[in-house]
Amino acid sequence: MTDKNNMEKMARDFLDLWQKQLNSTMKEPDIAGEMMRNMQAMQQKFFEGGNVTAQPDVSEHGDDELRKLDQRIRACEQRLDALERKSKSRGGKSSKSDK
Amino acid sequence: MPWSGNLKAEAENLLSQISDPIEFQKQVAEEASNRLASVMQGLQNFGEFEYKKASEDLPSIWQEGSTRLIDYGGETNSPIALFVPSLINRAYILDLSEERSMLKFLASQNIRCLLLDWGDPRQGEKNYTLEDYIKRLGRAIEAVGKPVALVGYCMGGLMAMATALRDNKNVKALSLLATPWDFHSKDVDRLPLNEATVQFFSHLWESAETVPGMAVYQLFYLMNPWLVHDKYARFAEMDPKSEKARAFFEREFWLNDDVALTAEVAKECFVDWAVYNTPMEGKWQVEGNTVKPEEVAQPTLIAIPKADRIVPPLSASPLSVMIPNAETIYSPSGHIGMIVGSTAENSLWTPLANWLQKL
Repeated sequence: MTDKNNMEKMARDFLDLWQKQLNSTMKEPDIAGEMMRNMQAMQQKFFEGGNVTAQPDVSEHGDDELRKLDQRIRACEQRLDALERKSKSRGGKSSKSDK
Repeated sequence: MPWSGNLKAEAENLLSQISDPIEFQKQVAEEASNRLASVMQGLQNFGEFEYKKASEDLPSIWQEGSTRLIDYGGETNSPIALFVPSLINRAYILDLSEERSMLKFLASQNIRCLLLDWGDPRQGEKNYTLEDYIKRLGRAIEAVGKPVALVGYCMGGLMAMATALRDNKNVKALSLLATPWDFHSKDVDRLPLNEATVQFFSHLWESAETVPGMAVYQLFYLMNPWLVHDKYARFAEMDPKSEKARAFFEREFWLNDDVALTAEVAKECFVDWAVYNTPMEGKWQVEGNTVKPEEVAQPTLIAIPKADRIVPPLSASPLSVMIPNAETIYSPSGHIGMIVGSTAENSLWTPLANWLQKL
């Protein structure tokens, strides 16, 4: 084996060892704990932004019709809420006038 | 760099042979650069594939919230197998592609296959516990209207077993594929699960109603920081037109198609199960009853993949001993390879089909 080939092999062996070293480091509870704390800190901003709940309300596997139906039901619920509020406020006035 | 105990001698031996440190540094930098380039090439190749689902338009025979029961067809008098996948990954691993579909194979063997697709938690489901999902599974079984064999994969196996224990009438048989029981088995290196893990997850579920799949995957990457590097470097070496490359792509596509868990389910899986090992400790309860494998009355087929790093054999094997009527088969593959790998047809699909036909 030439010196160059030998050096290339040693470089490969060194990097393989380094990868093993990093793997074994992650098995140490203190290091793993620290990594988790770091991950937590990195994610903090993301989670505080509320993006984590940005899952679609309808499964991605559901079809568009289901999604549209879901939207229409929500719109209906909002209109019903608005009507109920109006009705209550009218009811309140009439009860006062009854007195 | 302080080397770990078992690597120290090897590293010192290697470093002592270096005659030209500057040339060595140069070679290390070049090798590192080549490795990185391989990974980048692998990622680029990955982006050029397109995923084609095996089945797009199969009918659902039942739906509740985000969960559907998909019908793979078959004769009405065929044995019915209801498949329960994990909540952590998507259901379609059981029907990954035209070439790799366990469900299509079983359907061709005169088994009526029904696949429970849990879906993503919607509004109204985001506070769901495992128990809520297990009760939902019970309602899906009732909707079938005939006794079924429940086939659970991974944590779906635990949910299937809990259901089999509470419904001896509608669940006539049970099969557990790569299903964990002892979460502290010693046959693989595990991420040290301790209070830091508990805090990590506590933060996730206190911050949001659902925990994204990517947060869960980060734990796997912590266990093996070179996982992605090694996989994609190997992928770069494959002929992009080869069947091997296509199989790799399909698996990775599925793995990265992440699904959210409800915060409560994440807590039960990653703290109660993984940190405190509640199933093996006899402390996992559903509807106030401890889940006891020794009380499973149905005939049971357990499939254990010998090369599984996610649910290692010693995590699954206690169930073979505890369940009274259990028969165990082994696959030479890993956790996913057992379902979609090149040996899957011989080591799992066919034995499972034979077992289901005899019920």
